[in-house]
Amino acid sequence: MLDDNIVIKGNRDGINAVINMNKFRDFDEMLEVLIEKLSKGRAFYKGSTLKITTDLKFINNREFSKLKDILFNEFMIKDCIMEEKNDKNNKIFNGIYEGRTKFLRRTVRSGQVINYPGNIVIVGDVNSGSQIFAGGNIIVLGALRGTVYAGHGGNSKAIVAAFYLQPEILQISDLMTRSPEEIGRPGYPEVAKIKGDTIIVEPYLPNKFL
Amino acid sequence: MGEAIVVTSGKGGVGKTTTTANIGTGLAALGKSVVVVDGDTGLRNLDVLMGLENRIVFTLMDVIENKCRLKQATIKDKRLPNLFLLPTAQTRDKNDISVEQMEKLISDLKEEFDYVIIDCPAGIEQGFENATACADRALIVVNPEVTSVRDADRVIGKLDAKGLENHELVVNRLNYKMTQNGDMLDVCDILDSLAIKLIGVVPDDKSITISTNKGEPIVLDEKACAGQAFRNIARRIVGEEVQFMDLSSGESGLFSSIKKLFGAK
Repeated sequence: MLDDNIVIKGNRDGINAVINMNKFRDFDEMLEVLIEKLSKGRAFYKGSTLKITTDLKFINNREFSKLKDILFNEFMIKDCIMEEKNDKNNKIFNGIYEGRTKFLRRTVRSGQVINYPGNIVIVGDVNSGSQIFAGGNIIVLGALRGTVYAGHGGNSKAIVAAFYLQPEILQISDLMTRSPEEIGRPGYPEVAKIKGDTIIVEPYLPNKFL
Repeated sequence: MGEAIVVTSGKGGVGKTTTTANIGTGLAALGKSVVVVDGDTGLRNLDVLMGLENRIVFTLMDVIENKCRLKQATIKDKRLPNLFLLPTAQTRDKNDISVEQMEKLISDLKEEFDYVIIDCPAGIEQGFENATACADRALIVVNPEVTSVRDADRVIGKLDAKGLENHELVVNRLNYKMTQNGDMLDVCDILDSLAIKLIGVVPDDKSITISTNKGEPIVLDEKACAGQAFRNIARRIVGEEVQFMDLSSGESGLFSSIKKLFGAK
């Protein structure tokens, strides 16, 4: 049900509405549900200050002013403050040496998206046009030709390793890079990691191959 | 109960319809009762390839809308008595058919025929959804081009997500000489990136164009190289073990060996 998508609660700072935009198809649907919720306690909200906590990237200026109009005119709300939602789940994943890991025993194909707040091991290929988001490391026992985001959420110690490392885009934490244009296919597995403030790619055992 | 096979690719122009017509005809030539279904509503072509375009009275759309019986819409082939075509409407579009309607239609057809071959339209929209929804097996057609392989990869991913994991690869329009020179993707390269089972390789053949325009599937042409390739695929579909053709054999005549002697390409 749509119940937990909008949670309205009171705390020290006043009334706070936490809206999970991911659960709604669009802004209008969210607005409908919000109005329905607020309608139940119309008198209670009158003259109060409402703080709305949500993913602000889903709401544009026009929609925001529409929301304000409704709140001010229909519910007589005195003031409305928007706040970016800091999801508590978005904590940095710390288990890159030992921790939660997902194993995928198949090829990830074009158009498929894998999202996991931990390490990901893929026994298969990652083809171009696919996306992988991992909170920790990404290990591919095969060819990596897709787009990968390791340490998604901010862990800059995360690594990306593959037998054949040729990603479209490789991002670790907040550093992003892509494969060099000239394709020289090395015959050994490679590891990408952050050193200083750049991403470096090296053989998985430097002493063995260099 | 028959088997429904969808012929798909993602990318357009790789030879889905040609493959459908030829494999359908090839299976019928092996004595199976076969119906080929055109899934490309609004842009139908399968009837032309089968040479049956002026026999269309009712279409798949009429069956779905209960304007006629299934028997009335299926057209018997000119050459083979156990081969039928179910054409689609040219004046409608793919959104006019729902997945449920298509599922019902295909399951009705499966009662009557050994093989139901569905020609899937290009793209991954409603037409694709309809054509693949009720299939038991998929043939994925690729050309030895990066674009085609990439689209095929997407399509295989979509099929896997639907739970249709019985899929095989047809490499169409392979030019042996060009792969030898490294100008074209090799079958191994394609298999390497798609990682699925190969069921056949069809060489590039000019006579396909002629057969398409004439409405005579090339599989019936005993001499054509591409015809042989399609016959082999049909035999593999029914479960026979057939060796893969040596595509270099077309080049090994006396003339080309003389050419080789002088190092001409």
